[in-house]
Amino acid sequence: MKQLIFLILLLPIFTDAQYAINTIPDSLLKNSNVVERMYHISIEIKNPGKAKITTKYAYTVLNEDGNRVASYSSYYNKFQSVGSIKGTLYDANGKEVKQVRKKDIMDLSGNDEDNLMYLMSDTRYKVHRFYTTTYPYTVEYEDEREIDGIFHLPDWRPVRGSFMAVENSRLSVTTPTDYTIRYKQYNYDAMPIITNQGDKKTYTWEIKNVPAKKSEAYGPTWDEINPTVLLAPSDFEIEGFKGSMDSWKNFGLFIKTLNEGRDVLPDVIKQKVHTITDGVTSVEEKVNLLYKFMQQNTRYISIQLGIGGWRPFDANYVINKKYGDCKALSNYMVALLKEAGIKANYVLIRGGDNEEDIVADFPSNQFNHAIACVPLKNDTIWLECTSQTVAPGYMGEFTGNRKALVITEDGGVLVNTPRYEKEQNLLDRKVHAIVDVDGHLTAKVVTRFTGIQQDNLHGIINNSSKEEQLKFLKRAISLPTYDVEAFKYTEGKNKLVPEIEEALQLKASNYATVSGKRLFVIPNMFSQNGRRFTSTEERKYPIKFTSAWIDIDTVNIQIPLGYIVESKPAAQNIINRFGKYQTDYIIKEGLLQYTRLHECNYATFPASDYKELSAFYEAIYKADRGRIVLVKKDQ
Amino acid sequence: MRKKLLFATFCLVSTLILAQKEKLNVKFGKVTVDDFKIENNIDSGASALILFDIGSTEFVANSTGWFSTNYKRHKRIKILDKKGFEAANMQILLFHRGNDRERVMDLMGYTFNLENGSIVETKLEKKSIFEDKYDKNNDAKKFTFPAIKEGSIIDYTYTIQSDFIFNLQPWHFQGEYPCLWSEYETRIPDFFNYVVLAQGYLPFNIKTTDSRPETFRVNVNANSSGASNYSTIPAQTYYNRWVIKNVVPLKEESYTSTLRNHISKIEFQLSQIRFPDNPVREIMGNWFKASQSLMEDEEFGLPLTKNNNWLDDDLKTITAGATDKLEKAQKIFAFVRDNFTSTGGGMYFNAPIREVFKQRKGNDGSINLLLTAMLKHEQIEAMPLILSTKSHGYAHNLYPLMDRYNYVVSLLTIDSTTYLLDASTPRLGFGKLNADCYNGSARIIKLPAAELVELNADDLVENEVTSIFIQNGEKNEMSATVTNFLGYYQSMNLRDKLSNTKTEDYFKELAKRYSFEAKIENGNIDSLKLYDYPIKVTYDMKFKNEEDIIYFTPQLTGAWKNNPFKAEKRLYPVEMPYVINETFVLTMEIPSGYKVDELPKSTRVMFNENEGMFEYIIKANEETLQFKSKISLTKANFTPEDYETLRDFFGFIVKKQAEQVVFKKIK
Repeated sequence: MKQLIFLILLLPIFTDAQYAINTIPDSLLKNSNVVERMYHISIEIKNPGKAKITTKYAYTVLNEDGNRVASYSSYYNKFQSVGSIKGTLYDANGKEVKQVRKKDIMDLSGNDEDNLMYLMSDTRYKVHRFYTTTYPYTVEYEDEREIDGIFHLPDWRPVRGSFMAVENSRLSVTTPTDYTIRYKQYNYDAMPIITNQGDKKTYTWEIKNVPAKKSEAYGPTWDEINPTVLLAPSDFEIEGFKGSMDSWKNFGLFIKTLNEGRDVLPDVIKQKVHTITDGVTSVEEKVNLLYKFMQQNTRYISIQLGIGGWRPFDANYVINKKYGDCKALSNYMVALLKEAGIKANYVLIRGGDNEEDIVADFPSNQFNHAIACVPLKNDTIWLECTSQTVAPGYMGEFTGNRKALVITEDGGVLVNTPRYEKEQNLLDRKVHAIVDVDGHLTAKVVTRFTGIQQDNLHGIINNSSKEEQLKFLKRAISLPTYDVEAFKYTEGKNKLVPEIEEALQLKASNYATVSGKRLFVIPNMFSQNGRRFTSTEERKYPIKFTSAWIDIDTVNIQIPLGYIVESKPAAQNIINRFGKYQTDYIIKEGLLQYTRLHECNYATFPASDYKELSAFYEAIYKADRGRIVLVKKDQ
Repeated sequence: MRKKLLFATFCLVSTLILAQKEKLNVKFGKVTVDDFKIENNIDSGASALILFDIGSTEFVANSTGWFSTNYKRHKRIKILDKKGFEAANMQILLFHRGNDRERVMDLMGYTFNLENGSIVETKLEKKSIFEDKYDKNNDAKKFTFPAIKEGSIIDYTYTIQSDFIFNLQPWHFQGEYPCLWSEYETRIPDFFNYVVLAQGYLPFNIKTTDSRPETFRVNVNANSSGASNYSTIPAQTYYNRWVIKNVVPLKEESYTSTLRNHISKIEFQLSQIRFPDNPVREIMGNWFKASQSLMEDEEFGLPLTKNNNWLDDDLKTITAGATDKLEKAQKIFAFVRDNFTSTGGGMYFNAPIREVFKQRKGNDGSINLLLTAMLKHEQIEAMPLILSTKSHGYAHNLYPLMDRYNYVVSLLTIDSTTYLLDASTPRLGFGKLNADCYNGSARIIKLPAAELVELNADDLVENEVTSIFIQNGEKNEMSATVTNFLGYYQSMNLRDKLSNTKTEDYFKELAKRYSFEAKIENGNIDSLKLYDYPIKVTYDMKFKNEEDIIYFTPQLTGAWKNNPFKAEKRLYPVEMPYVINETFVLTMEIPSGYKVDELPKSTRVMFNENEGMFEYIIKANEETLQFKSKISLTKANFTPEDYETLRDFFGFIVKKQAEQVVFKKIK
């Protein structure tokens, strides 16, 4: 009897706990590493300059892979301060284990200590983590942030990543009734609930019980398949600068105000501009010359302090220091062109390889980079000003094929940056090699890379020491033991599409395997495709190839005297909507010629194409590793 | 004849003297056109060249009645190419603790460019020097030089005044860029005695010692009344000067503990203070003293010596059921390892011991010291053992230099058997240490004196054995039984991997490693959760023979596909994590309907006569093929002289393990 009473008393403590693991519906545990128990973010806008953001969230971490979301991190700088941070750790039964102690909150510099190119930023971080490895556990955090200068507002992306289920997530925004908050929602069916209370208005979005999803390789971006609400002010104020972002035009006008008067050049530079361009008739040529002048006289150094995060250092600063960040250098470039009588524009863009494009119909601060452009009659020349080496007009994978905001006299205008067709993104390789009876190989390899296929290499040959280039080559080539005896790069920058020619001389011992009288040769020594689609799970989302390209390999191998071919792989010829794959082996008089063509199309394919695509790439994978067996003729 | 010989000797002596006195005639801010003509012919491929780097440390009496050091540095760098622009970005860290700090003074710099034959200078502006809070104990001064182009010369100087005289500023002769002249001078009054620790493979071009009398005026009465009372202390000051010319950077290659162990540098540790008319004060002391102070340290040994009876109840539960000391120790170890989370590195308690226990977390040191305390509580003989991990560099084998140590584990003795325990690493077995801990000198902290222990990777043997049986199945299918006994560290890696990968996915991945289409069934991982033991992986594998000629690589798994030694030369030792001992055995039925057309040759290669062996033995008759491949080395550390042989040895292994058997269909 006594025992029973004891039990009854204990039970509620275990089962009523808010974060007990047994209160999570089974549907949310499937495929999950983490369950977002709740995520409530409340934004209270007081006026166009000030806002308060309160965030409270709790995650139940089910296993080791979930650990990384279970910590707290928030930045602060001139425009955002972080107030009290509270937090609690709960065990599987939802019982409190411990709380955040102030001394355990780390205060970290926002500077990249490993790369001093990013010299200085006044942004710092508050970071906290409960160190625990007893799964499952739950962390709950709560903080308050004050915004001084509303230039951008947090987005609501309730499903933060794959393998995470969401039990409840809510965004609420409270504004004065006469304040216009702008929002854009997608993958969210309902309309926000709007309530009025006195002179305040509140908008609420909420989702409940969303099971965990997996992301898929070459699939749509995460935002495209998950609920998202973007927020932006209409009229805003930051460090005394007023603006509006109800249209791209007005957003552009604000940027124009920030930049105003920062393009004044000293006389000596004005004269320099004229020395360079006077007498040159072609506008394109003038642009090229001034761009090269800018490249030769500056370098990239990032300094982001206060409003300097949005406003460029003036042209004079760049001239004196010969350095600046993307904003300062682009502003300087525009100033140089202006002096030469060429109308050019400062441009905002979201840079990044495979970065998703900005949301075009929602004017707001979605940018992280600045470039310059010169609009011509039929075409536009785009200039990346942070590189000392890139070809004028070229927009590689960092800035190409996306929307950019051109800042004109009349405000902002969205324009597309160029995309390169597959014929412009080439890798054309010619190999002349000799294999001896011991399997050793000597080879001359000449490869022409163009367009986006030269992006990576361009970076390496211009930003790495010879030593590092050699290291890169050693990684890039998958031969067992070999030495690069000589290598040389030649860049062709004066074309619309840049190209690099790579000439290698290499020696590989044991390239071919020798077993008695046989030699095993894999003729495709440089272009073995590693792309595979081997997931056995049913494909849910479309397959997206975000760039198109062509690889052409021609390999000539001189084989040792007295050897004949015992077996060779079958030639391939596959043409489909994904691309093309063709190989051939021709053998005559001690010479083996292997040719390979692989084209990849720029397109999006429905999920139902997955099987066929997978088969296509498996065929390529296998064929790329095909070997030829040579055998010594009996005397 | 005799005369000539005499002359030659004389000549030699005089150049030697000249060489010792040699000084660079340079002045801050004075760069000539000739400086721009200096070429880098010591390290082709470098993107910046250090024309000189000259530093000195001297002592000054400070206002608190004690001494500070002034560390002056003057460095001039030529930027050779765009990649070298990075050499113009600077960060100076300034340490502080309590009221003591390092201060930077007289930081000045210029960029010089040669434009149309004349030199243009651009000054580093004060307002372009930024200050950042780097971490709890360090501030950073950050700046970059203006007007940088290819060919620019930057020239800068600064002084760091430091209240920390225990370690003088060390000097790195070897760094990221080649340096034509690297010089350091210390001027130390004889009442401070320092131990000089030098390492590296480059000889000093100049190494001189000189002394002269000096006096120091010290404020001996710096009290709140403001009255100053100066006392003059006479001293003999020792001038030590070291120069290395034409220093080429070391490059990181495979199997390197850390380059810091190998670069040329000198460091200093205060060992004694001996003022005139005062008894000598031992500062660095010896291991007697060091052990004692560690054992009395609140953040190290002190909590271990208390009776810790607050642990009574918990330990009763933890050790319940244990019948002897070893079992008790195993239970305590497993409890700590499995219930505590490491918050990062550290060799001292980062919180009071009870707090660590209650919070179930602490840095690595806290966890292992707590473990030691818990073992001692149960009357089991346990002591802390301090060491330096590979990435942290070697500890000194003689001097008690505590900052050379960064890790502590527990040394357990039961019935005269010793065990090393590390409970801060998840899934690490009883009596096992991470391979990273086998880095030479370690010390058992005990009274009266710490005891030296050598933890050497040469003693750590990683045994891996794979055996495969293949039989003919139905039609053209063959079925194999694979048994793979992993080495202990391989087992650790697999445990880490399987902590977030499903076993079935692991076997799927394994199937892909075969060069043919392999189907894996009945996969089993034995001892996955028995952390004290290595893992055994077993599975069945099926594959088909379809061609008329089968080219079959008998080394089915675990082949060395690439030579790990890519560089042609090596200037410093090769430090492998453990001694390699791998055996692969295959017994297979000849595929039915086929005959052996060709077999690779059996061979055996010795490494340095008796320091290792690679064996490749293959034979076949009409029914079966038997194959064995074995690599066994006798050590893990190799000198640079061994390098070429080592590279050839592995080159040969790569080649041999790729060889193939040819089966032909019987017509």
